Amino acid sequence: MVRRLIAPGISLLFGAMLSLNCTLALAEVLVVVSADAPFTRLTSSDLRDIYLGRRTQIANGMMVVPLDQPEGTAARSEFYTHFTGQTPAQIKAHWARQIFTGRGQPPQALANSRAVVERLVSDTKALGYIDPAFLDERLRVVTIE
Amino acid sequence: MVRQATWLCVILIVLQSGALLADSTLPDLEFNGFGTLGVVHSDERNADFVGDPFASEGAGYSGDWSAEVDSRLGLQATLRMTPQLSTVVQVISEKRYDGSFAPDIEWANVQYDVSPDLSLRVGRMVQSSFMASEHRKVNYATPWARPPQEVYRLIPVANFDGVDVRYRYHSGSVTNELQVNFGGGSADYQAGSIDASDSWGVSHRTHWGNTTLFASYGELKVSVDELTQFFDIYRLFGLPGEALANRYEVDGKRTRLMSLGAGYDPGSWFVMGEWAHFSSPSLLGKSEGAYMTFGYRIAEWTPYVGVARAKITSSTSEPGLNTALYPSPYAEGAQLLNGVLNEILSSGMQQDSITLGARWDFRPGMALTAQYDHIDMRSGSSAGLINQQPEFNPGGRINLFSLALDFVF
Repeated sequence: MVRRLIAPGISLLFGAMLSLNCTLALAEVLVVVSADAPFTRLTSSDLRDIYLGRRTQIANGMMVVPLDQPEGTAARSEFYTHFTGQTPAQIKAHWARQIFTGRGQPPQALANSRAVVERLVSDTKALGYIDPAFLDERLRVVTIE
Repeated sequence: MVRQATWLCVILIVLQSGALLADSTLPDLEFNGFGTLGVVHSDERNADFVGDPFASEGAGYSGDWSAEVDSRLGLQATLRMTPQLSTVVQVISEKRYDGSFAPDIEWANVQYDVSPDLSLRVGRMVQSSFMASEHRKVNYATPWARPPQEVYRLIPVANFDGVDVRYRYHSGSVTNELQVNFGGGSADYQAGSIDASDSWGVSHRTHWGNTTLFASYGELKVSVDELTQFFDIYRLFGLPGEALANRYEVDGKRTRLMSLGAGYDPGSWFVMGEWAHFSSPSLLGKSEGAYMTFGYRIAEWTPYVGVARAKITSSTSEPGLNTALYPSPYAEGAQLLNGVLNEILSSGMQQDSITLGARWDFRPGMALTAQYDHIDMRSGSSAGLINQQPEFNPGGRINLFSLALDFVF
């Protein structure tokens, strides 16, 4: 009886590990700015603070405007999980705390990586994250330290 | 008077701002909402458990299960008029002292950002007395079915009409927020109203990686109509009555509230705790409360466990008037007054509680929370239960089970 339960249990566990590996490999995002942007490096805490609305300027007083992708997209959940260590639900709760205390609205969400690229190219203050397939010479990848 | 002036300022700023429109994406109007559909079961049948001490009914005596303890709906409009100027109005409908769900204004203010890190607000706001005070009614944004009452019940008046200033400053990877407020507020309940005037508070919050630190201090003058009348009767009993009234009177005395909080949240788990101390050189006395909650996140599930304690640190009994000194019927009157005085002195919350719960974030913006609370009332305390029946025995234990659907949109 016990063995009959263990065998499917182990296969489930392996299945879960495999699917975890797959999501890590597939859903990668790059943090990017316009090639004309005045910065190419950000500390991970600056990036997190900018996206959580705790900071609008970086070290040398430069304004940074974060751009988001729609809720429920793989890019968005990969970005927040990887760079803020929080799940989409935690981010939603974070913004509920800000909105309902009158402390601001979340970053503007554009339709997809292509829309983010178009905005970045026309706005050197903007910061975004995109699917690597959309990277082109008009953009620069931001180094996260 | 201060309140009228405040509202006049709000109206003037809103009218003025019409002339300042510049950006093409402005004015920008956003509508948001939040709410909870919740039921609570209490095994104490002779009194009602309530989340809000001013509600008229709760779970237990009024009904085995009550949908009125946690259920509420909040709607908010945010208008950004210029990059610096915005206004927020938030209305909440929940169970009130008169039994209705009539909507009430929780927030209504105008915010002016002098710089991205310095903001001024004028209008109606919520005191940031505790870590989650300002969003305590947005259950979606907190881990529990409701904030731990051992701390959040210490101060019943949370809204105020006045001004507040927030200054944000950064040092390296640390973000700090300093908030200072001044104003006054009031809360109605069945037998009258509680007013808080000349209230001011300072709070400071630090975000440092996964750590959050919080501290606040505030003072306010509380006045309660009902108690003023009570002490006027005491004064009829000559010098001893006068002395007692002066000692326990609430009006005109400064009440102080201090709190400390900390949280650590590396993502897959979190821990948070707060300690608060309330003191008033009056009938309200001194009390303190603390809680600690630990939660673990597994995909969409967040099981959590918490402990909390509240106790009165000032004396809960008073010999009162010496009844032997008065002739009948004054002696009986004095006895009655002493009885009421002692009852109020010992009516504060004294309890230990254990909370077990789990939250399920089953879709974006929606979560289902199930929570069990075991409350052990101490020293004959009634744990803030209302509608106490003659058969109710203070100092016992109660078990609560809550189920809530929280949402934001």
